[in-house]
Amino acid sequence: MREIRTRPGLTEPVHGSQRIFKAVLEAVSRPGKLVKVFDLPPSPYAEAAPAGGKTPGRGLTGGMSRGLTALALALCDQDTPIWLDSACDDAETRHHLRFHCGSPLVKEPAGAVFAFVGDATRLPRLHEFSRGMPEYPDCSATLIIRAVLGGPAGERFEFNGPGARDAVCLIQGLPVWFRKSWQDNHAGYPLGVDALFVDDRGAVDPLPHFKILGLPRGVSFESARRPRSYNRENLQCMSR
Amino acid sequence: MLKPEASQAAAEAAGGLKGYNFAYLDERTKRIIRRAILKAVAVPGYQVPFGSREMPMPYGWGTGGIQVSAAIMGADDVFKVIDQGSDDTTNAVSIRQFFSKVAGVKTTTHTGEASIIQTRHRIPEQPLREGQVVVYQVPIPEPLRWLEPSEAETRTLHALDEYGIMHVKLYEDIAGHGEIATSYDYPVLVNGRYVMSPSPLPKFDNPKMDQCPALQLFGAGREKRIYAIPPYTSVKSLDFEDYPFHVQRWDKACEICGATDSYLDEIITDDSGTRLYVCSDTDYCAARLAAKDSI
Amino acid sequence: MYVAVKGGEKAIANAHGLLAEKRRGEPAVPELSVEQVAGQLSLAVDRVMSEGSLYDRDLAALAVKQARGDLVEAVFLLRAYRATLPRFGCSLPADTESMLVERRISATYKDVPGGQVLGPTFDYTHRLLDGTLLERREEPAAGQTVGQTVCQTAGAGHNENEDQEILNAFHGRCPKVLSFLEQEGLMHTEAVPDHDPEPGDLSRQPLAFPAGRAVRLQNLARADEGFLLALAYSSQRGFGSTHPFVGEIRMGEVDLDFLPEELGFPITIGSVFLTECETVNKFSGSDGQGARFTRGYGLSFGENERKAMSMALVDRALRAAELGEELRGPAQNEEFVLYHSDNIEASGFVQHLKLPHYVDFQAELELVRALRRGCDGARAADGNGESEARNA
Repeated sequence: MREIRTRPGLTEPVHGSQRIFKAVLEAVSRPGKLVKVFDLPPSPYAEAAPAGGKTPGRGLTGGMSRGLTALALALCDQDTPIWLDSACDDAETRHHLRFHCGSPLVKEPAGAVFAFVGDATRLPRLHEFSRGMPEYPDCSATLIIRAVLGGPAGERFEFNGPGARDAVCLIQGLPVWFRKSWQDNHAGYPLGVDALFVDDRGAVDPLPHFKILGLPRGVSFESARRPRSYNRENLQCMSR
Repeated sequence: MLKPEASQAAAEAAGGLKGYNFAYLDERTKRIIRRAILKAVAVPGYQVPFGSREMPMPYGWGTGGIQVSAAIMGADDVFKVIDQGSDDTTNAVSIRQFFSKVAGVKTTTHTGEASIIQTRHRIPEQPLREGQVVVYQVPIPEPLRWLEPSEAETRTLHALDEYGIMHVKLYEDIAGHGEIATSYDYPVLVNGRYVMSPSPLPKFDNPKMDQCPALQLFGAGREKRIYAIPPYTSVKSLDFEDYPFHVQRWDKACEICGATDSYLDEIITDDSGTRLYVCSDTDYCAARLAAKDSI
Repeated sequence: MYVAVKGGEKAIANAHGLLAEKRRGEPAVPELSVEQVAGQLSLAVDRVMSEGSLYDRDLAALAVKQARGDLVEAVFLLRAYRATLPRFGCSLPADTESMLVERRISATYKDVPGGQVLGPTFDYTHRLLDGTLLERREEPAAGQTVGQTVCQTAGAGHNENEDQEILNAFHGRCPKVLSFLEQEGLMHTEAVPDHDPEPGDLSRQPLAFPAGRAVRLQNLARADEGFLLALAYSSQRGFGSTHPFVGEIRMGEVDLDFLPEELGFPITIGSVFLTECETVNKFSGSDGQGARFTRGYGLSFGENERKAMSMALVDRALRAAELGEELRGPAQNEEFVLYHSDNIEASGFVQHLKLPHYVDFQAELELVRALRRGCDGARAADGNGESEARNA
């Protein structure tokens, strides 16, 4: 077995984590909005190109990309079992996550608190992940999926739900069943998985960055749910 | 894994307190709180349990709000704290000093300048904007607690979307008093799903929460719960079609700035009980006064 | 414009100054040292370590000094400090059978292997104020340490050397009194849950119900002593009776072992002084497995017998549901006990009422005035109606 050299994490662990988290918070609060992040750690791979480099390394062409790595470093720790898809599941990534986050790695999607998906075309069906329990809908998985966001190509998604205002986004690289499967996920609200999309094409820019798009379970790709209103007529059946 | 020294070094570099982590909490605790916040935003109005820590202030003094603020705060944030609408009440002063000490952040009393506003019992009068975060200090996060003391029971009621007891309570108010006799901590329905306690805000402030452009985060430290309302989310005060929700109105104006649209505090000024009315939101009052003076 | 609670910054600074003066007390009297507190107010320090859930005598003594002797405030200081400490790992379970006992008594047997060791107890003191303690006395000369006496019927009339031999014989392994009942098959066996999960940790995860016994015991170990004492007492007086006997109380030093992953074998990292109490409770066997005894368990840092006993009684009371017993008292109500046992939470929330609440009070004032106007208006209208009727 070849030896894996430990790669560094975030340059500024405290403030970098905070900025990445704040960007994720903004993305989840404003679904459909592309949020830029400039804290870009190295990928788990030794051969990955340094920032601004010309040779695309492993973390650029596939595997655990630098954007996915950033979210793992900012959000995961010993309390968050991680599931890696086949694109991300390699010795370097496992070592990197164990070293920097101390997270347990799980084999089945159902056991994951965070799932990292390097190849969206082979995303497992959403129902394979934890959707939470009626009393604890927060105990559900968050999927972090690498995709190409905001065009020029891609499927057009209209975001409706809390925080989404006139939000439309192009997402490229999702399986054909995704739209339908997401609507099923949304229909189970308040249970369901939450998703974050990561686009790190900007990692090779002179000012390296990546973009995040939030897709919490409350978002529907169809027109908005009407908030229910109560009146005294339906009081009787409610108080039973 | 992050070593504590790294965090302490970061605290000192950012002008924080030597020997303590940036924004006081250790990085592991911040992650716990951050993850809870993300789930709270994903399920608006639902109370996420979290591993609340003992803070150097007592429970009941805003430890939930302080932990939320500490978890989201960055070195560039501008922090405002109000208690009862005022920046100058003792506990607001104490919390503001705490963060300027442990995180070295800039503080302000101006609502418009702040990126994080931590509050107890009020929402500022000046409309909030996109990009701002309001952090509420919450004593009792469970809106059904007064009707059902058991946590296991209330959790089940939320899971079943079964809010009959709350509507019966409000209905009994109408039957007994001719109106809903709840003047603060008036329950709201968030995103059409969860009944939520707005923390003990006077109901005057409830309408400000609906479709608010700012992110609203609620922290209950002793009860170990976090909940949230994302921007532009429906927040409806519970009512009945024939008894619609309405807010308090005064037939007086603020004695200092003359405002007629703000929440007023009543102050007794002499032994015979003479009363004076002034804005509860001191920043709003001062800004109105300054604008008048400059004309 | 005068507003009572505004202008806080200077007021806070002055309050802190006054507090420091009060803490120091009369300047002509020598200042207490932390060593004096740790050594001479050791039971206060023990309580603060227990409820503060941090085993550090010096820091606990510092907290007692800083809190002017207010033990709940001292517990709070210690807890707040504890919350900032990094967590390196968990020790292996402490083996209290290997305790170097300083006190060990059983109320269920006249004599037990290892003997009954009275140790330093208030139990048989006459509570008469001791005027000699008013005076500052000479330090005791070296070598005056009082030895221990073992009460053992078999060895009646033995001398101090023999006592020490008996103690030495059992040092390293002093059998638990309840183990004799276990050997006889009369103790309810504690089933290990599937996969023997790691116990929860309340300092990291919030309570959820049902809590499970491990979390319950952690909660009780951190709980306010007075609260547990009152609950235990209530269970004795019929609010959920559990008929306890004290099977054994022991206190002494216990080694703590830690297993570093990279070493693969345990190393002893230190020792802690513990008080442990196990109660024996009769159980009719309503679960169909026949009559037998059940156990209540209490454990506390330092010398803390009242706390350990109260904890054992409340632990047993809280097992009512799992043992299929009728729930008759607050001590058996898991949510009630666990949610209200923490004195830091309770003290904070009760005392937060002194913070300003005038915004909400203003809202209530307006509401009550409006309701009164409505009520008075209705009464006036009724009054008019009556007089009109009479006139007609």
